[in-house]
Amino acid sequence: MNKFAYSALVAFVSSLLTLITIVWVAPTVAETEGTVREISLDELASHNTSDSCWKEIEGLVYDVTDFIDRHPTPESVMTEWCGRPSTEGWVDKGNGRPHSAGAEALLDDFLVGYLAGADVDLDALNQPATGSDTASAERSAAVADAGTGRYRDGSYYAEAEPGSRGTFGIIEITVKGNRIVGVYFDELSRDDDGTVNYRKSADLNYAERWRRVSGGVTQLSAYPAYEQMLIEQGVPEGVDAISGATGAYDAFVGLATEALSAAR
Amino acid sequence: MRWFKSGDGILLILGLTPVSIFLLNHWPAPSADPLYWFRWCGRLVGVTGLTLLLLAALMSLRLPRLDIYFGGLPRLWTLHRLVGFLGFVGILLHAWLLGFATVTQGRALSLAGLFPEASNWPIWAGWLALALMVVFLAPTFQFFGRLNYQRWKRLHLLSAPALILALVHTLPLAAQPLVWWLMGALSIGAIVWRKVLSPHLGRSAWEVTEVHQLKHDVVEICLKPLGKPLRYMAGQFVYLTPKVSGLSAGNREEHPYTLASAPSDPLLRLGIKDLGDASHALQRVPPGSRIEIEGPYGDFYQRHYPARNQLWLGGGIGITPFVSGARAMLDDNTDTSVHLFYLSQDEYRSYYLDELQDIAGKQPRFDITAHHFSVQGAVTEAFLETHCPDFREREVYLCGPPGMMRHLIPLLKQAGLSGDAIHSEVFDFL
Repeated sequence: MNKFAYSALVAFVSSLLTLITIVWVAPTVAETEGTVREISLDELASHNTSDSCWKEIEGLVYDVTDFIDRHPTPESVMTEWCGRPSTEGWVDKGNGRPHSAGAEALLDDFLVGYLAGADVDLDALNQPATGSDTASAERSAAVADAGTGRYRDGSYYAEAEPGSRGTFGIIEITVKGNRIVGVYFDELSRDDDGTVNYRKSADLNYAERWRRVSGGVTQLSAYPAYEQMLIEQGVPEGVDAISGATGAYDAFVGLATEALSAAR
Repeated sequence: MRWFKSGDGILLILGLTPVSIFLLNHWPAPSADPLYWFRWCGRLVGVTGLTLLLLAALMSLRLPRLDIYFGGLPRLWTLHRLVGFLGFVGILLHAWLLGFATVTQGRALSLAGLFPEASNWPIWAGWLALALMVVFLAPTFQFFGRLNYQRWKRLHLLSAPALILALVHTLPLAAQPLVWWLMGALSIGAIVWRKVLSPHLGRSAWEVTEVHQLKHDVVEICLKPLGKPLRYMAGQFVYLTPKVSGLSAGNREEHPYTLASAPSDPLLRLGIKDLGDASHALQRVPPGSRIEIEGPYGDFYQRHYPARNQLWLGGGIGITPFVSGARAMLDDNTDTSVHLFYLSQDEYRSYYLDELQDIAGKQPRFDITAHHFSVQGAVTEAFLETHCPDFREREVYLCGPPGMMRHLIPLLKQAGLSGDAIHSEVFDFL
């Protein structure tokens, strides 16, 4: 019995160390996952058990089945929200306090889609995630050598692929004296003839819905703010995300980077 | 079913309750996903492991006379050790399975599952409980050799905070926490009784009246009750705590000693051999000293074959339960005959031999044969047969040094005795 207990402990510690090592070197699922899709209220409602538990939080749908076991409350606290819009349970854990930033980071990994009709920025959701540490390191390095006149004079244009709703982001950047002097960013859609029939920057209904989700900021001020920051900082990496408009931020930085690649 | 005691049934019911509640509420869905099974099994062994550890704690209650329902305290301790061991293995498996269940979820999630942020305190309480468990079990399972008995006992007390942490880990995560509250309260209650209350409430006070020097290294201490006398059966033992400040060692420490007196004797008599610091000190305990007793424990003379006559094989200080049994025979009125083989190195190391031979003279149902190893060599089947021709038809009771047991038990089985007709009580780890 003594020998077995000792062997079991040694085996336990060694396999735990092995596990930690494996997990440490393995890529994360979030980095390899595909795009998100639209999910109807009916589909959401069909995932209402602990065997398959989906929840809508602030317009996005998460499959949290795998997390039920690990959630630090009795299972019922977690499962009562399965298949339902659950923002209420997310912002108030029952004690009046919202979930932590750590929990928010975990949530991203369970994303499966967005609720039909929800005001979410699709392009942003479909952007591949980048490690925030490396991004900020790159940003400060880029900011350090900004203003060294790296761009050729001229105007540069980039356009994103249309998303599932048919809208696509565009950007135009004008460089004069090797510095960025003008930026225009918007999301548009075209009709069958190719005529632009929609400009998000002018869609006040959209802004109203966005405001409800973000608590304030919408595309009306976020787009000009990002444009302004790019002019001031000189590089896309110098632009800071505005809370409540991070989806637009990702789309903006992506397009600006693409457009400016032609200016080097 | 002789090996199954009625007390075991209660433990079994208590143990099956949380496991059944878990199974009823989490009956596995048919799933082809191995991770699902890792998680499910992980939780099942966690529930089982904690249940076993709580039962092990409950078994440390050591309430006098209650141990009879478990076949005596030595068997209960053996069971405690086995259950604790299985619980420990269960908890290791629990952490292992749940750890590996996260492996495909990628780096951040996997590590967050095993080692979450500090605010997720139930998980950390679980880790801490496991760490404490390793610390207090290491000397029990002798990972790093043997530890001094008193230090081991103190270290083993860490089981109480470890259990509390394990409950802190489980209660917020359990779907049906009530069963854990109840089992936890029972188990923590058992530890509190054992360590805090019983030293004040569970012991009775006695006064040393005489100390007979039987041989140079063995004394018989006679105790007079200061309060209520003790009711006990022949062959039982007690925990003795001297309250003698001048003692060279072992003052206020409790150690188990077998009673040598007959239950009808108004005095309590204990045969004590100089085997360690504490028993050495007792050789010189002055009359008038105050001694505290907790007990009685054990079920040495339990009968599996009540109709049979008995064969007693005693050696060394292991003769004490037989002295008690022989003294009790002077005034019992059963018709059971007893043959005692007193095995010793030589005549000088035969304690109580004169008195036992004297009893044999007075009680026709009691016979004694002395055997001296240095003269006659090891006991053989032929020797037993010569002096007790029907020894194969008797129920056998053994008590003595480990070497003697290792020699005699195989010899008796070789001679055709079945295992459940052979009783031996070893309490070397009490």
